Amino acid sequence: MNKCRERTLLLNNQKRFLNLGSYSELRLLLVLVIILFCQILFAQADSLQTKKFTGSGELTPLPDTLDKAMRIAEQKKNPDLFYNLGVEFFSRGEIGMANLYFLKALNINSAHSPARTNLELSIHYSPDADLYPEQLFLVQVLFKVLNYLSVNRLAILGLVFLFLSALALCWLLFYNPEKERALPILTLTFCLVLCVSAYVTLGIKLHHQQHNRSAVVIPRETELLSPANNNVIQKVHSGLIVKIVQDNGNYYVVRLPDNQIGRLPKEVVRKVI
Amino acid sequence: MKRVLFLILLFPLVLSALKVDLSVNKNTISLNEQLELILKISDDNRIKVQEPTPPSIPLFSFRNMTSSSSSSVVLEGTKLISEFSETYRFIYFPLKTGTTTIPSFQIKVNGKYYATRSISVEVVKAAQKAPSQSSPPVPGIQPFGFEDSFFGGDREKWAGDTFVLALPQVQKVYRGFPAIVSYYLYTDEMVGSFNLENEIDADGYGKSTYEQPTLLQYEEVSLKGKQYKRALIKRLAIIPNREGRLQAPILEGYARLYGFGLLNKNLQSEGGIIDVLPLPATNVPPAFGGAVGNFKISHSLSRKELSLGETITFTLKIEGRGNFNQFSAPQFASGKGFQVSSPMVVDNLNAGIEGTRTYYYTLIPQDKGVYELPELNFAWFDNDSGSYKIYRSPKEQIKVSSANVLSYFSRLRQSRNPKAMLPQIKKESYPAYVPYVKQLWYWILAFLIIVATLVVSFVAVDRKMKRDNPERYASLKAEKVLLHYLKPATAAAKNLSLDFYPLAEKALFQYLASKYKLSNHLSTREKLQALSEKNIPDQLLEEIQIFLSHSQAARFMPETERAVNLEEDLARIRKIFTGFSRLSKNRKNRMGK
Repeated sequence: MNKCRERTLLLNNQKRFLNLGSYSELRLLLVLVIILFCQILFAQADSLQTKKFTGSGELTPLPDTLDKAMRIAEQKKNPDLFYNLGVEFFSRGEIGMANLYFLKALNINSAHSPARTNLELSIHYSPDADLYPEQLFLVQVLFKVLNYLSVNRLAILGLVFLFLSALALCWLLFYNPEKERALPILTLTFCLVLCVSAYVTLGIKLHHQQHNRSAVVIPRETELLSPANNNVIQKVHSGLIVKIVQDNGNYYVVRLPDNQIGRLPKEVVRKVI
Repeated sequence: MKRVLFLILLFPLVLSALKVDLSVNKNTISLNEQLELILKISDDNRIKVQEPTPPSIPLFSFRNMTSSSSSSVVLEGTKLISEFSETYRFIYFPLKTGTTTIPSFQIKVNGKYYATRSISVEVVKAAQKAPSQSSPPVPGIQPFGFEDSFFGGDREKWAGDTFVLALPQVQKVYRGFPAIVSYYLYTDEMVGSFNLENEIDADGYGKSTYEQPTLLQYEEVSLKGKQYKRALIKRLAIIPNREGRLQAPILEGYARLYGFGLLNKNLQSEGGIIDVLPLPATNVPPAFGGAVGNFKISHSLSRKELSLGETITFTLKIEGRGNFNQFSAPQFASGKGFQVSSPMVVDNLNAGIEGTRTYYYTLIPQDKGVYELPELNFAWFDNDSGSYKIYRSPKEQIKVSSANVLSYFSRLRQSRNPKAMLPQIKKESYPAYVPYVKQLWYWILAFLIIVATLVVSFVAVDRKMKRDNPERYASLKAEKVLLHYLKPATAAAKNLSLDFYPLAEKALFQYLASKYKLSNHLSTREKLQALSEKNIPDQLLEEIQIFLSHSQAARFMPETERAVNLEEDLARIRKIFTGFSRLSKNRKNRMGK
């Protein structure tokens, strides 16, 4: 389309330049142009025989490569897109990037079950799996509940409890004054406590979502240095999830899942946000 | 007209002619050949191409990719013709016979994406006997330098000494053990570059690229008493699948030599003979499944004590060099008390022959008690020692206790433990994520709930006051009525409107009706009578009477006098309301005392 437009413009310029007086000459010129350049146009169409291009002679941008998908995902912040990128990287053997994108998905939606499942699988089979401590059962249950309560779920829960609190308050206000009012007071207190809890948790989650200090080791293998000197503490591998404790020039002071503190060069880790 | 034609001839110069050509070396290919997919992007202007991802072709396995770029500028008469091109060659091996289609794939040129066309390819059976298999030439591969074609010219007989030697890492290997063959360029001349053109394969082995350098890095060596420089061209892993003398692939290419100009010298690798020994037929362990290599085996067990419903993970790690692609996972012997899942395999291998393979087995206890871990045997032929070796899993005692509530939940948790990566989520669209708390509807809903609560609370408080303190409720109501009606009356007075009197009268009677429950059906006289019965001071009643008489008279008053009276009467009505208000306060104070 652009080319056609360019050609038309050029034709107009030629016309002005030559100051063609008669339409017969212009017509002749058009015919000549068509005869001369139709082959070029058709040849170009042949060289790109896809449905999109055939017959159009123009080159239309096409969607998604991985690169573009990463950009789109960063723009849209859609957890499913991050998750899909994680799966794609995992299938390419890039465990670090895979874990990073699973974490990005979970940062937005902590209840994204496939992302958590795949992240757990990736951790389970990673060389650093031993660094992740086994938690007590009740702690696991607590984390599961907190993960289930994603930001959006907490927002809805807060709204529901706000509504229930309002109903309980109305019930209490219009309650028969001659009757015992313990039940409506209890209901109102219960709803208010839950409502406040939901909003406090939501606030904490939102803060964590915006200030997530998690990061992932990207290279296949790298050395964890002592925070104080250049002694190597241990080797860590691609996909290890660390918490950034401090930004220290060219290094991050990080905390490993087993609470080991160490130093990693900035170029070997990628932050979740 | 001549000028017009001249301009028409110049017209192509302004046309951009980006061309994307995709072609294959053959549309019908036999199983012992390889498919070459050539992608050429050319344009009149410089192009920037992002390296394309090789397309996945059904029935084929991808082998490698090479790329080259070229540019030319030619002056033809008055026309300056330039062409810039990038060429990518993808090499594929056919896996099965059949017809398939090379799918359209995308390339990024100058920041925009373009799609190629799809091409149909048929894979047919190989000919009965192919004495020597030659890979199709891969023209344009320039891994070690740049092409300077205008200095070109072959010279068969060359004074210096330049040759390619294929050097196996070991001369003798057992069948199945990967042999590494290094191809070195030996020279005592000035070699600018080496262009690898072909690999001539023979029967009896499978191969993979072990190392492919991108630069000629020379080292000084001595060969047959003569000093040479040598540089590694390629390193192949050869996995022999028959015994006897084996010829490693022969590399063909040409070196660019600096002499009196730049000259080409065609070269073909020499050497590369490997003696393949048969595996011993005696003392073959029953667990031998074809693994040949120098392996180091290790294992780990996730736990030794568990409850019914929980699982154990047994990890077997095979490390070293060997024919990893030619043996399958060892299996646990059927043991009492455990059910064993199929293992999950995680490879971390270079060229498919060297590195680590890890098998993860999940064992589920079937009853409580103390059980011995089922036996797992892995046998392989060790190339270095020339003997069979066996790994036997240790005889570990596993204690299985009764299930409890915690183990029940633990089982629930473990049953969700994935055994394989979950697939991607395909959706038609992926909307941008905005949390509910950042959406307008959420806050509108919250606002409505809060407002409704406040309204209901207000109503409830109102009702409570009416019920608990009716006098105060009536008083408050009256104040409201007063405010409601007095406002328009005041406005009317300021505008010298006759509407002041009816509005003020209405305000007064509504106020009295709300405060003292006087019916509106009573006449003015009756209302005043009722008020005097309610202990309203006479002075206040007198003021009311004066105001009402003025209200009657004002209807017939000339406009000039009305202005003076309106101001007086507005002050009067305010005085009346203030009087009533004070009266209420005094009563409240008395009640308080």
